[in-house]
Amino acid sequence: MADLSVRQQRALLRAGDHDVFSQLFGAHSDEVFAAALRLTGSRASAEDVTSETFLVAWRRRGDVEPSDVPLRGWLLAIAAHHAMNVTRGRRRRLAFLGSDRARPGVVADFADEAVGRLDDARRLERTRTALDALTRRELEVVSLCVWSELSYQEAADALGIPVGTVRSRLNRARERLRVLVADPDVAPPLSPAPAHPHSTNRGPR
Amino acid sequence: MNDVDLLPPPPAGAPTAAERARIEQALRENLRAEVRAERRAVVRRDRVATVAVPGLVLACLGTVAALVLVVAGTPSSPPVEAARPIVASAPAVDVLEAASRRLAQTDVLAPSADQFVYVRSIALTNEGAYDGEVDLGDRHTREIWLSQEPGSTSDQGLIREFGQDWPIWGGTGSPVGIRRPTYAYLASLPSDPDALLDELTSQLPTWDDARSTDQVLFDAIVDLVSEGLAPPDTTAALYRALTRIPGVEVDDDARDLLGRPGIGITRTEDVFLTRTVLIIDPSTGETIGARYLMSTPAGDEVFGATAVVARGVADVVGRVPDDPDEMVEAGGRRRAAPA
Repeated sequence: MADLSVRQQRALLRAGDHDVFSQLFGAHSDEVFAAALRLTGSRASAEDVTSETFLVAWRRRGDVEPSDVPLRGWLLAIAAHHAMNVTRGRRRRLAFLGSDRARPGVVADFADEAVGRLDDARRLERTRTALDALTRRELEVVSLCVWSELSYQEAADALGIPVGTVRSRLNRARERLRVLVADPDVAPPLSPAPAHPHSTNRGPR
Repeated sequence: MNDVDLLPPPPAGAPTAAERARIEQALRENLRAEVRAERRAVVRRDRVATVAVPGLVLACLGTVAALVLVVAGTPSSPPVEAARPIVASAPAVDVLEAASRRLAQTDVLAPSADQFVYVRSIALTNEGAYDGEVDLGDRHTREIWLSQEPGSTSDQGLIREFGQDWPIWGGTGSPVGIRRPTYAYLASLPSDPDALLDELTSQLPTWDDARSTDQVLFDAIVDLVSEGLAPPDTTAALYRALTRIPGVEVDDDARDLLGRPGIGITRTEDVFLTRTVLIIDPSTGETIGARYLMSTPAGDEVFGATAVVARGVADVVGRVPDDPDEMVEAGGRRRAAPA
């Protein structure tokens, strides 16, 4: 079973093979959980997102195309989508209640290893605050490429977008955070108005 | 405002064993519903389906993270015929449907793979000679411990009856299935009545049994729900499967071996003229016992009966669990059903 090539796995999954599906679950459910946890900040939400992700994967098995790109990226993209749906609702509610989470303070670029030197709770708090500044599309590629360490190609395949778009979104995410680092007083907007970055779908950029 | 959910999570992102279990459980239930819906859609669409209904077996928690899917039936399943219609008598259907609905409100604690399902019954057994008269012995206590080992095993549990322990030993080893049902296996059974009956039929050797397939199925379901532990959903599905078996009726004699009130669901076998009665407590939907009768010129004669008095999960074979679900209060009165 472990000797199946990616191409074979994809063909079998597409055909509704139960063994392959359960193998995928065994191989990836933990990292799907971890990704969901990073995006939602909630273990309970991460549980829901994990089981939801595999249910969706089963439903959409017919969409799986023949290729050599591992299915891991596809699963993580589904997870990111659902996790961000969870947090989107929560952020709106928070903003409405006047949360004081607007100020990022000093935020190191999460791609910078220096982040690891802060103590964990503060690091994650600041990271999460910085993440509030990203658009949904930018957060998606951060989750896949930076945290789950997918290659640009894998992320592009999983999201169904060109590799160049993945790169540009990632660069924009880094730029936005460097701006925050340079000027800690810049607060990301948190109003529930349509101008809120997370509620606006500006399309592929 | 203190939304605990938004506190930053600890750095370790791996799910705990309990979280894994919940994830698998939720996924399994959703997948079952999903596949049922897919199957119905296929059958409706073109009346010929080769979609196999997967069962899901929860692997040994904490050791294997893989969700193991077990396909019911073979990959090259024959075309599905029209769904089995409901053929039990109308009163029987009412009783079984009501019991199924009632069961949906109950909860059962699932055993883990290294535990044992425990059932205690009061039993009446035919102790007469074979081919001779029926000689019902005294009522006695019968206890059974059932191994939940998911793999093939010969060490299958223990029966304690007639003052002795009788290990259940399966020779070369039996895989989990109808002949050695574990809680997890029962949980994996399809809830669609047709698929369920197909699965049971595929596992029961009816070719060497003079009973009709219908009686074999009926008796098998009675065994599964009387001396075992199953998720309420599975018991409900088994009840619903009974409504698809012809000849299933309500039994007028509505008390069990201990005189507890219940409703009997019965089927008479044409060849041997034996009759099995499943006794259900209508207030909970649970099976509380069974009765086995023969038709004679003088009327029906009981040759065996059981009344379930406790079900639970034991950590050690041969040891009674600390708090099994007791179905009889001290003094023999039926425990009040939960509100």
